[in-house]
Amino acid sequence: MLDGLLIGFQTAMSMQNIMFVIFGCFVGTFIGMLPGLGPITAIALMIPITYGIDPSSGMILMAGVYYGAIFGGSTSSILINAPGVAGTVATSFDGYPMACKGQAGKALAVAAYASFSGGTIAALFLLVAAPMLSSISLSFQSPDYFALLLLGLTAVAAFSSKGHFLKSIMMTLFGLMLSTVGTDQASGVERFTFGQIDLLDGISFLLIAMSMFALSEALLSIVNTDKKKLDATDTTSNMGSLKLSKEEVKEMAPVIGRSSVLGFFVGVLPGAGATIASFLAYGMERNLASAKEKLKFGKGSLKGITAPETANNAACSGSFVPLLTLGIPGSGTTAVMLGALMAYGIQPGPRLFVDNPEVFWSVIVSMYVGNLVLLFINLPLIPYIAKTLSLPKQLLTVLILFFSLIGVYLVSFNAFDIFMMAGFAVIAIALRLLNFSMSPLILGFILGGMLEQNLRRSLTLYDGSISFMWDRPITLAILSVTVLFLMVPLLSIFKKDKKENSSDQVSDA
Amino acid sequence: MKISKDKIGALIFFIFSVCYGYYAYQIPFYPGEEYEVFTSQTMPKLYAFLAIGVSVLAVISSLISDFSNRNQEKEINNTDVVNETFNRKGWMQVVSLIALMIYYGTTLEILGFITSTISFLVIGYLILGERNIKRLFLASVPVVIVFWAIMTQLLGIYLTTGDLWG
Repeated sequence: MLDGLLIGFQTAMSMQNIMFVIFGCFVGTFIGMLPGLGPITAIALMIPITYGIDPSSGMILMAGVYYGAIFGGSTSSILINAPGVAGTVATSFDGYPMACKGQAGKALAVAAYASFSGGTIAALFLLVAAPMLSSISLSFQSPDYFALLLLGLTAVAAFSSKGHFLKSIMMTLFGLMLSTVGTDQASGVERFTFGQIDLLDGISFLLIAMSMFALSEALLSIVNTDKKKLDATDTTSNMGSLKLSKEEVKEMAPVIGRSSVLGFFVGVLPGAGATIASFLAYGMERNLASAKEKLKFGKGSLKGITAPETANNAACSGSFVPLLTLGIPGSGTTAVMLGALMAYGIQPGPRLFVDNPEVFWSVIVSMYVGNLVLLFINLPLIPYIAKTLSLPKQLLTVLILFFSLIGVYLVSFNAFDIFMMAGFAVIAIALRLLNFSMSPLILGFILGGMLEQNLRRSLTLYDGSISFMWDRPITLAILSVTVLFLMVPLLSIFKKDKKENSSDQVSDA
Repeated sequence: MKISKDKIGALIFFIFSVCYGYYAYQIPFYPGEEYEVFTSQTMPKLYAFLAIGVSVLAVISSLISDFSNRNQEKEINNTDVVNETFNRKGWMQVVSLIALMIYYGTTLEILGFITSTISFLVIGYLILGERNIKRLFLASVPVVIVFWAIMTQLLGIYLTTGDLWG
């Protein structure tokens, strides 16, 4: 582990990579701050840039963007009550009331210290957990991978918001279906190309990520212009002090400890991610608070900002565990990173630790650097960065459209991709209006190829028998958890309907 | 019976899955592949069956929900949201920007990167209501020139000069 850490430090601490982290944190903060644009968009916009640099620098840049976007989301949550990222919604509950009281600076400082602590503690956990899990997963075979991939795909749906389970499953399947477009890798047969030469190589992951996230989010932000933006001028003009008293730090410390542990473990679970972690941490702190403190929640409680901010950053680090060790992304954001890694020709998973240790370790080390950058460079500059919230939206939206389109074009140099992007943007807008989530789609799309490959190998190994599903205890165990993840939300849907019907009958009687 | 977002989504997905399933059966085999355990049709067929099953389940689930009063209220709210969303002014701008993207795709290789991108940006700003000529100029021409210079002169990436100009 020590050798690995040294490799990581050597790579991450080079002047070029430090610059990439700083640049990533800035760009991430800027994009994350814009309401409606989240870390997936920020990372997707960075991918074309990372194609020109080496994989470890690319991953370092993307990790910086990820952290920056989460921090930027907190800033817009606190200053204008419009979270740029779902994971920072809970921050706005107490952050915005504090900003309204003229304590925006303090709220931002609390968010930054909490994010830094959560991110750093979780990176320490990652340092221990990732190599351990990686060495275990080296013994995995195709059937185990097939089971793991199924688990990853279903877990995202199982942890989706209430009542959206079936919709998430539909989106996962839609992503899997899109992954079958193009030439079949094993047989060389064309599938769903409809005679189009441009579709022979399939649909590029970057195209899907850009159109489903960046384009659709930018276009929908035109219709979703909310009145909240008007409040920005009040809170950004009167930020107040960034300093915290000793008592306030003492109040925050135990919350940080609890929330970082909770956040990390929630982040490790496939599909759970920063949003669930932040809400769980907020709920936990409110439940643990005394009756007097409970009243402060929702009105500007320090604990109310500390808990979700610590947890969401810890969850970000946690979500790297399944990505780096098993090659299975736990969230939409890490799914985009997985796609980028695969585009570099690197296969994430247990072999990453052995074959590309510089990528593995430099990502972990860059997390510390990223957290330091956010605390010491971004925080003091927040009053200035916040001014971007008042930039004309009409200019920003069109520029985002341009960078998304040209980003994809510069990879393929094929104008057909621009038409496809317009088409997918329309589909994404329609799906978003129908309350479908895009993360399961991108996850299904990226994992589709691997799922097919591993099922093909498993069936070939077992002469076409499906006994591979229960032959090895580990495969059986993973598949059992998968079935559990599928059945629990399904049963709850029908139970809920049954309950509602019976209660209606009672009330009718 | 009111049509909720859930039902519309499930029905559209059902139709899509049936079409996908139909085309999955049209995928050709290479000679002898039909005797193999796993063919290029296997996964598409599996996905189609699963997708049809899930969308039917989603329709049934929302139909069952129709019988409860609470869900009927939810549905009314949902349809209200649909109407509210569709009534917003910005939709014309969104449609125009999508048309603009198609224009960009069409003209990029004909007019070349610089001309088509400048026109894309200027028309885009105009669609979104920007009328300040100074701002229109500053947010388009220098942006495109700097981007072009970085790409072609610094990074050595070729950007199309346009078929029209030879």
